[in-house]
Amino acid sequence: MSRRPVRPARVSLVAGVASVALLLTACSGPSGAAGSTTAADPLRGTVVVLAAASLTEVYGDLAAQFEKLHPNVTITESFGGSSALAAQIVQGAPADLFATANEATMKTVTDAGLGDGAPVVYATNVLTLVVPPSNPAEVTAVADLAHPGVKVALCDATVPCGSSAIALLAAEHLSVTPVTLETDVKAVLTKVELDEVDAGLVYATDAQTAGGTVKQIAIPDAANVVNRYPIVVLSRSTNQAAARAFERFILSATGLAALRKAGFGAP
Amino acid sequence: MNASAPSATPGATSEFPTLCASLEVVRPDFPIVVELEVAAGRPLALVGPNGAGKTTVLMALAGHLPLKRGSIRLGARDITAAPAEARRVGVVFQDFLLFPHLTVADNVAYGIRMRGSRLAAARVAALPWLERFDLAGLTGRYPHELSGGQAQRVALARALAAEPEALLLDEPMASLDVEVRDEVRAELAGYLRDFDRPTVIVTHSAADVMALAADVVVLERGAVTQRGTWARLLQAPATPYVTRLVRRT
Amino acid sequence: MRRSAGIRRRGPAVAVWVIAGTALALLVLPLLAILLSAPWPQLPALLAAPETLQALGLSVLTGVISTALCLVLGIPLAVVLARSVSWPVVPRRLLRAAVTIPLVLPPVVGGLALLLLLGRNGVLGRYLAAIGITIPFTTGAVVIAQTFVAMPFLVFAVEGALRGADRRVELAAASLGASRWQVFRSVTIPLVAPGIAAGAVLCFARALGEFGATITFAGSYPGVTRTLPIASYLASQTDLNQSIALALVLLVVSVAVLLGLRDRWLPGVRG
Repeated sequence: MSRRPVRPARVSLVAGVASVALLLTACSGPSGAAGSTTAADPLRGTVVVLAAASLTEVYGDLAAQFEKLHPNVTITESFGGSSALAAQIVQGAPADLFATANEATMKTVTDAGLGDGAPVVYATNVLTLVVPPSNPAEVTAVADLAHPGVKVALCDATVPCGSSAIALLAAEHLSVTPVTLETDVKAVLTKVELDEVDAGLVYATDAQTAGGTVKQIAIPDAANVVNRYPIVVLSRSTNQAAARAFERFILSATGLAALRKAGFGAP
Repeated sequence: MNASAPSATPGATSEFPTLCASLEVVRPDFPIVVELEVAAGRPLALVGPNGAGKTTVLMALAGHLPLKRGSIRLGARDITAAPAEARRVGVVFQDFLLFPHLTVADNVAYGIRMRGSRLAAARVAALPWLERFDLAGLTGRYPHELSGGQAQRVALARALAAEPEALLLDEPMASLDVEVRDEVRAELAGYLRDFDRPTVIVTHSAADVMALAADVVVLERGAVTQRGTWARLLQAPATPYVTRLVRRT
Repeated sequence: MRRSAGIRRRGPAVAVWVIAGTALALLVLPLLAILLSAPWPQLPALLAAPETLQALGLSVLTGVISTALCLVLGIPLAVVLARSVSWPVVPRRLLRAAVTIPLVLPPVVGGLALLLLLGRNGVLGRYLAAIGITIPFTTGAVVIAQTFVAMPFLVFAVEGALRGADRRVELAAASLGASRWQVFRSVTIPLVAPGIAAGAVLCFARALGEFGATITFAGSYPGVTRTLPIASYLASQTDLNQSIALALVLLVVSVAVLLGLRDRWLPGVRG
């Protein structure tokens, strides 16, 4: 990010609606052309965000938008299985913001006293069934996964989408033997996209991002297990101001709208 | 040395075979064109300065180098196109090339094994050869535990135990300490006298020629410059090299 | 190397010792950390857990099979590679580059490539699938992935041994009547046997530790495809003690295999 000299003026941090206004009036392009009409911006530095794999696309977009609003801030994001990320934070990985795909994995971090304040749940995600476009096993519903001969990919129980899948299949009284238990939801999606398995259980948001590379089969709401997505600023953060600002941006109308658009539900 | 030497091939004819070679080998610096006729009982010394191509000729006779042109006949057999393993031409290499992972006994038994015997039978068949070359006390040793003279005897025993129809020796004394050469050379002369097959000895040493060979062929820069007995060379050296060679006695 | 009587060679300079010490620390201290962090009281229970034994059994089984496969396929390749010194430049370099591919490819990329080749929709895999053979998600896939990543270790070790050995004894063998196959079996292989052993050990160690290619190509299912490294990784996210226990098992097996090597660590180098 190019650094520009701070222009002396009062700065008032605004959240929510004001952020939207800034978004509409901000100057264009990362070339940092002079002529911005925004007030002097005290936010600077890097914000390291560790987030669940299912947030990859949406958080990527939001980070880009935030960086346009605050050109002196760089957002660095690392996506993966929520439990792996939680373990890294507990082991001391330097990060500013943490967003998981369920509350259990967030609890690992907050129980260790590493969260600054209480986590906020801001979105929900549900599981959906995906199959390769050609649907080789002619799967039409979740119940088909229990048929022998149908190759199913699931997340491992240690990651949020895995524990949700187990809960969902249990609720449906289905006994499913997958061929693989992957370490994060994107790996499951890849196996389905490559038509190496007949079906997989992934988040609705992943199915949406995948677009035409997979075919989505909705699971009736009542049968669903809901993942609640919390976010927290970490107490070890070295850039609390910018981290909080980005958190606020995610929780703002803009952020929530983007999440909605990606397929996440309201908490 | 035992008087009863097991050197006759079972079923051999009474005719002594001759090694006849007329060959041309390609070399980067100069071609080698040689004609040889080696009778059984009259070992031939192939002499010449370093780099003349003597070892090349030997390797070609053994089948380890291809000929550009020519033919090699051993007795009635034409072995020009035969691969080395089919030629029945034994070789004692300059640094012996004993098998480092095999004992002396198994080294000597190797050729017998390759001719079809099982390991146990080959070991038994090798015993007379080990005795004959005074290796009875060394059968369990490995090549790296042998002295130069001992290694040479093993190499010779190994080559002869395979009952070849011709024998080639490449600079037989070169790997030995100078002090032992005379003694070993005399022993070698004795072994070769008992071997009734064509023998070619590559050497640049006059002492070797005098002790081991009946006839001499001189090779200089790939071409034969003189042939005959040692006495003949002494009488009438044909080139400066031969002159120097015979003077070294 | 023999020391001439009375002449003492000067040892390495102090600076060399310091740097070597640092390097040694880098290699050894992480292992010490595992040993120090291990949950020793709970270890017996963790090690006896079915997941541990399953993963261990699978890792050892696939590791052994992969090593055997590497030997069968890799030794001839090493022979060709050693012989390629007499080839023209371009084919010679291409061959060497091909053998090096698994070393430079990130394992996950390797696994992906295997999937695209042998998966049921893969370039070759689709034909196999048509006759009822599917490879991904099977233990066989684990073996293939491990063989893919471990092969260069074996090939280069054996090639090194072949280059270092005095191959002229093969001429002696031929003159004694040995056919090319007999020469290979009775002279060449024994000559390079220590190099082969060292290569096989490196190969086994690499196969044992393989993660990325295995999980991408073969997946991860307990007892079928979940090897020790994968099990350890998954456990590290929820039960660190279990993870360390699994890592310890890997460590012990690796060290045991290396110690079994005795003198020969790398071809040509005596320990």
